[in-house]
Amino acid sequence: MRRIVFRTTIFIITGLMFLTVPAFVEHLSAEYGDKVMDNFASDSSMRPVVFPHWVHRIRVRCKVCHEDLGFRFMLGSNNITMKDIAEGKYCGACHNGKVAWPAYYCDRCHSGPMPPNKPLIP
Amino acid sequence: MDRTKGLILCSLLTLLLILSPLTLVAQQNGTRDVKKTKGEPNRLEVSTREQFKPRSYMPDEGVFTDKGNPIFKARRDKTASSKNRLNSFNRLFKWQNIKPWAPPVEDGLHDPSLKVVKKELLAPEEGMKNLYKDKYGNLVNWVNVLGLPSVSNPDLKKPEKQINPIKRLDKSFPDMMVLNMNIEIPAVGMINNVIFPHAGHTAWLSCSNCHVAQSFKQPIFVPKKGANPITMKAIAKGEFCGVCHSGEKEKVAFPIDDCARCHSGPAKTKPTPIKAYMKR
Repeated sequence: MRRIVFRTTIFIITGLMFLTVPAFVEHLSAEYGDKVMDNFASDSSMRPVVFPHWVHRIRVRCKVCHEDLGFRFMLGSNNITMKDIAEGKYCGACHNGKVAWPAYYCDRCHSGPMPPNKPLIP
Repeated sequence: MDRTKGLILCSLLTLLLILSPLTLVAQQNGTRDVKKTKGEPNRLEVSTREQFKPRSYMPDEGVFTDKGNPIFKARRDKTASSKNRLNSFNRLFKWQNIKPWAPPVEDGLHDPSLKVVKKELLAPEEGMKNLYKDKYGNLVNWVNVLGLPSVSNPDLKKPEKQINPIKRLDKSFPDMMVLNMNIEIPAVGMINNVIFPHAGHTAWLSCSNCHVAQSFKQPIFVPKKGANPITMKAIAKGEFCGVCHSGEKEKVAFPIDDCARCHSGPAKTKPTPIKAYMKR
């Protein structure tokens, strides 16, 4: 009985050792200030949007987007749809061909990682 | 005892063979884990009906609870290796594990199989290489870059203006001038008080970003002395200064790695007690 208990504890301990290895795996995640926005994208099988703050910071002041255009500070609280962008709200205020490039270059924004359980329909 | 040794060996080998692919899966999950840079909520657990509910309200804290599996929760907490972590005395100070100025192909977030990511997306090094340097965050001092002297870099008295970002899109909003007002925020204990410079902040932000409430929430900072109970715990969680400088979800400006950058007041002779200024 004691031998069985001993063997099972060893089995369990070695099993746990292997299961905790992923806990110490590091990974990279983008440039500082990059935000991943996925309110609607992955449900429509588009890749989530990766928004780089630094690219915009060298061209626009914070107050332009966060006060004039209505972007909120809380990630996930801005419901931005492609319809809004086409109408000139949110991102569409600049990405309309006049101030910056137009919004029909899909992959420039939608380049984030798909969540694991959502398929990307090619 | 030979039999047990044999059994141990066999169990180790089987576990090695069976469970080793799990580590690869975990790594892939890490690079595809949208949750880490986006923060909570755990979108896999919210039903599809709820996902399409328009979120016109500010979600309260209940939405962002950590309902994950304990193994992956442990992985989320260890966001920086111990050798790179500053201020590791406080478990609330979590650092994102970011390779600074990594080109988009290699940064672990952009999907490297896309042609756009390989060819068209601007690399941080190209975009930011001539700007005034900093040791934290984006590695650029965004106040000096506008031609303003900053508290954190007192040797540079007259920086030249390197970028000219757009000031206003909507001409009906007034273009606020830079406000030169320093606020001294007392810090509990022996650590120097915080000197908050409005100058650098108002060049980038407008008054309403911090001082006007969004929907029914309180503003980030109530513009009244003693009305903001600011603690490092609150900052580390993403309130007050942490809306931009800290917090797992929102960090955009330089992080709270360097204490002296904000706690730049004169040295104290005796510690400040807690109840001197905070209304609880």
